[in-house]
Amino acid sequence: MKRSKYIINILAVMAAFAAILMISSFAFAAEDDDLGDNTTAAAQAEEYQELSSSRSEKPNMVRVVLISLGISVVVTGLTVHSIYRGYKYNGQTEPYQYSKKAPLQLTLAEDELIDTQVTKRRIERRNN
Amino acid sequence: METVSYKCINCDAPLQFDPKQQKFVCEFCRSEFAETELADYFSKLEKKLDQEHKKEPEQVSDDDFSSYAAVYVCQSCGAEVITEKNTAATFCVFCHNPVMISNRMAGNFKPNRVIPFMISEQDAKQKFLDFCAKKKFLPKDFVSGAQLDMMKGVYYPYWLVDSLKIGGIRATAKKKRTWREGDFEFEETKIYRVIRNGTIDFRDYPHTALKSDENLKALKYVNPYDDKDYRPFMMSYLSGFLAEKRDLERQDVQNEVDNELADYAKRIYSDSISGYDSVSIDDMRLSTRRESWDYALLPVWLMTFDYNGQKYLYAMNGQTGKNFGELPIDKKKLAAFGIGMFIGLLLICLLGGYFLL
Repeated sequence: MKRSKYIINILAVMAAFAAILMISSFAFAAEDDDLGDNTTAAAQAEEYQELSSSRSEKPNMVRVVLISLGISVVVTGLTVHSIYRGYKYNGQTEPYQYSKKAPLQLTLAEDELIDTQVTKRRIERRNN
Repeated sequence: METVSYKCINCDAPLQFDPKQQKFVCEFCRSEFAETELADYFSKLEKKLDQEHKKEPEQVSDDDFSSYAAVYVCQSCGAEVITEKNTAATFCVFCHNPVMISNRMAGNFKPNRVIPFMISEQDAKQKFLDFCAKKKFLPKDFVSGAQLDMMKGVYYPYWLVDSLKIGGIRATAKKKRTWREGDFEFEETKIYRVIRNGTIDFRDYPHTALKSDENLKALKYVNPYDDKDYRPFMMSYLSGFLAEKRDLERQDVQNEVDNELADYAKRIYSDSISGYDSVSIDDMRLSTRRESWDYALLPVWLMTFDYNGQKYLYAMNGQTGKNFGELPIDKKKLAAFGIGMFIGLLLICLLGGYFLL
């Protein structure tokens, strides 16, 4: 029993790390996308060439460090805060089980359509 | 001050209610009695007490001392013992004999119902230790025998409200649908007027009947109790525990209960609306068709403790074992964990970033 719990805990930690890796990779990918959006096609191509040549040598470490710091601070802060709250308000759950102890007997249930609104929006297509 | 002690019919030593066996036990001759075996003895005693209370209701004088405390004479050792004004069951501080102050549980103050303790002191302490074992950031010296000795079983007074409400709500609900046609995206919002009328039968809604208790929050959140163990009140269940007398009357809490039930009614009516993306309640009307109030004593295992000059409270439902409490946290341990986690995450992100870019 204890062993299975131990394995579950390890799996949970591994899953958490995998999730963090995925989040960080999405963040890095989003950074890449943002770069391209605000520039023209010609400038983009030029920049892309510059970037790809520079990245083949070494990644933009400042950006990597900043994003990593941000993710680490947010995830650690949330975890520590939730642990602290867990000690402060332990067991603060619903004191009255109204779904079980207060049955509702409906005498009227009416749903009437009173208005329909339709909005139309042009889908913007990205050049890249 | 009228007091009563339940005595063993074999040796005349004090009897205590044992939650584990749901029997009355004598710690001296080790006799055990089921409730049915002592039915005659208990009913005679309770009848006698009722008659005495009709003749002599509790006299409360106006002087300061009487309004905050009361003196009784222990029937076992003859010592004079002082109790607080709401104490209804306690122990003699000299001989530890369980004593019930009977006229505080008589007449208007006689509870209609009681749930006897189902969890013994030993089990309560074990549950507390198990609960603490899961908490990795508790200070090391927190769980000690001295702390555990402070755990006490208390019957707390509650009002249990049965209320049949009739009413309904009017709400505006929205259903959204989106689709694409060529270069365009369409969003359709259908707006509905929703009406739900009906009766809600609230049963045994609990509200604490103590005015100014520092444990009020705990008394709220140790709920819910299970209906199946409600029994007609008998003073013998209090033997071996502490008990408090109510100091809030129905009229004192009526408004509060009405507001709380209205909040629940809103949630119940809202829950009956489904199939929409958003619902906003426009108005609700609610009236009471009939209502009845019962006075009940419900069991709570309670522990209050000082740690580093701060007061903490731990409470456990004496029937179901549900926990509620504030626990101290070892800030150094939490800080070390936070720093470790931060460094670990930073390394993972840096490595991830380095290889992904």
